[in-house]
Amino acid sequence: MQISKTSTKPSIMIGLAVYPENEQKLREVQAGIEEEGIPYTLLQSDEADAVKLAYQGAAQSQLGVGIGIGLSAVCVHYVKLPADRPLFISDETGSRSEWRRCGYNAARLVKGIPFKTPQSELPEADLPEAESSKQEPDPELYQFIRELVIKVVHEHAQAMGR
Amino acid sequence: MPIIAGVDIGNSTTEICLARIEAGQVKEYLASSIIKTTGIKGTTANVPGILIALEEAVKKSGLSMSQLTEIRLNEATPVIGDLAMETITETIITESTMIGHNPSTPGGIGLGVGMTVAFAELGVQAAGEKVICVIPKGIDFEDAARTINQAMDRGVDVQAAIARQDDAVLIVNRLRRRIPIVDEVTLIEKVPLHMLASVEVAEAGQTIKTLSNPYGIATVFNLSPEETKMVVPIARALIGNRSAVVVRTPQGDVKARAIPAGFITLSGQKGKTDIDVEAGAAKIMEAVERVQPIFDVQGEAGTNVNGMLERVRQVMSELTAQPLADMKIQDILAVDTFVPQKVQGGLAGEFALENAVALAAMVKTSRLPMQQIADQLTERLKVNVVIAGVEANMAIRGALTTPGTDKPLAILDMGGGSTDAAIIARDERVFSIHLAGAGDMVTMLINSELGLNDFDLAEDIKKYPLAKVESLYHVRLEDGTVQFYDEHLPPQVFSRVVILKDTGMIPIPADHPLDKIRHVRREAKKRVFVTNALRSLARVAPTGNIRHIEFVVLVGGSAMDFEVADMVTDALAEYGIVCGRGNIRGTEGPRNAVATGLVLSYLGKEV
Repeated sequence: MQISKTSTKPSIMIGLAVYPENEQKLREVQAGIEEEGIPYTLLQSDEADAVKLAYQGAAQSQLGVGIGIGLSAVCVHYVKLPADRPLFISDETGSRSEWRRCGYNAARLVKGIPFKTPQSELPEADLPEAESSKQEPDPELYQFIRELVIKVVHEHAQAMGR
Repeated sequence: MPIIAGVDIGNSTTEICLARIEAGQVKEYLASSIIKTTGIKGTTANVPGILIALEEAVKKSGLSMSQLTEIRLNEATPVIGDLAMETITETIITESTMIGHNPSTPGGIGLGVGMTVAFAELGVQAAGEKVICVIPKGIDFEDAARTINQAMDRGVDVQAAIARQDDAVLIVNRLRRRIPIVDEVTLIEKVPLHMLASVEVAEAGQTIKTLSNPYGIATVFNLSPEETKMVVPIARALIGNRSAVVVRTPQGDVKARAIPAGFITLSGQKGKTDIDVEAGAAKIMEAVERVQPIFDVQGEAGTNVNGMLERVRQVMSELTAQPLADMKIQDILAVDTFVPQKVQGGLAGEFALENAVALAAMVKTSRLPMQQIADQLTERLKVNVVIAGVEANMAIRGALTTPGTDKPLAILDMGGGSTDAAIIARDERVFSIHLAGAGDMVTMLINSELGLNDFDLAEDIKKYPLAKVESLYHVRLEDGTVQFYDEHLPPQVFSRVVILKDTGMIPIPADHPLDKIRHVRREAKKRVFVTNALRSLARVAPTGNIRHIEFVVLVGGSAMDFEVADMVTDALAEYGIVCGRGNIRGTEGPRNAVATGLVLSYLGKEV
């Protein structure tokens, strides 16, 4: 793991598994922390597990707060917690708003103000990112159903033909 | 050696006192028990609860049910109360003139003045134009920043922005020139476009200075003295905010309007009087004192108050199977309060504190169907069941077992629905009275003043002390002491004010600081219990002067509260009265007074 020169100043450590699809997650996490106004430092790592990344980050952070962006999940950890019991961990299929919330909440842990919960954002449930994440699986689903229908129709046609 | 069970059926709990009598004296108190009352007090639905409580007490003392000689039931006072809340002011924003929801992270610092333009129109603004950009939902912060930067590069004077999403800091950080941005405006599409507007954001930890000042708004919009008078409510609504938006629209205004709440008619011994509910609690209570004792209260038809009063009558009439017309309301307690209400016409879910009047009403009828309960109990247990007299007399007898008390003695029974007081003179004469307003009203006040909309939560706030979670491992209690935990606390309580229940912590969802919640809780208790303590003792005092009472014993459920007894004791100390929580039989605390009194009344009968 490379440690950048700035890691001695108080900041939230983001441990990032180098993986092209993590760009989106990183952007949202950074945005969340930035909106709350807390500095952060980025560490790239070969580790793929979000919880381990987050705990390593927390251990190195002067604020004791780390975020792990693993292959699948995003995790927020605090150095004073047991290593295997992170504060927050996103779903495997996390959405942009969920990743952003990890950023907000890591910063809020530092600031000592209540965390954002999915409920507290309910009026914003119609956010574009939520919509887009809803639309994303649609083409796949459409394709899947299309194939299924064609298959059934074929079988049906064959059965009739016989 | 008779064994006697005293059974006290209260509004919320059923209590038992079991004792062995010998030679006209209580030889030994065998056991006490307490369980939740089943059904409404004074109905046969109470029987299952009585049976459970009896079994528990009998078991504790190692006896069997068949060894009971007599069960003595109290003649439960047929008193019930109900509550109502009347909001008497409302705030309306017309034409979306202002945004004052105070988001947690606005962007930039300073004051911007210009025409509101939609984000999509920013590209067509001419150079030199002073504009405020309105960014709808769905615009990414990088796109928003890029578009604003481009407009600035073309010479458009973008003065400020209003955004839908929680993006203000992100956008400002990407701009070449920092401008104030107010974000999290939920109804952004309703922000009037092509109107002169002003956005102000103060530094972190500070409050806005221009838009909360009528002359500030006048300076910004170049207002005449007449127009300046009109903006006073707007400025007032924005005081204390870190950020705000004011839009100058032709008819725009913020109005505080009084809502007519109707009047109530009080008929009492000393006459009849009408009083407007919106006159406030002080005026209503003055009127009550003027005509008291009250015979009946009527509300103006079609008002909330009338609905509430009718409900009380209805419940009581069903309970006692007596005609509705015979149900008279004998007391009301009014308390001034305020309710956070969503501002009508607000763009970002703003709240304003509206004035309200809380009312408790009390009905007393002649008799509850206690005989039916007694008959059912006799049938089930084959034990002699006696209805043994008025609740207040029993409570006094029980209270007198508190060490250090003597006649003449007054008791204050602070329950859930009503506050009862009784006094016993040296010559054994007992005089009692029931007043509206007790624990349930405190819960209602807490619920409404904190805007919780959750009665159970308000009940918990009333009953348990508060703490602030300061880290994932420690909390600071109300009195400033710190408590540490071995296990880390769940994230949902982090940095929140919590209620410390024996079963764990309950986070309070609202954003009120601990001091505010504590203040609301204590004030609610004072306004109901201290007021009613003084009111009721003045009525039972032999001379009408509260100073002529020497001893007051507090009994009943609310006397168990961790601070009510202290508040009342403190208030009564000013009148030179010895007042404290009862300690029935020296062991039971303020509980079990009536049940104990029922057992003692057996002696009086025998001797």
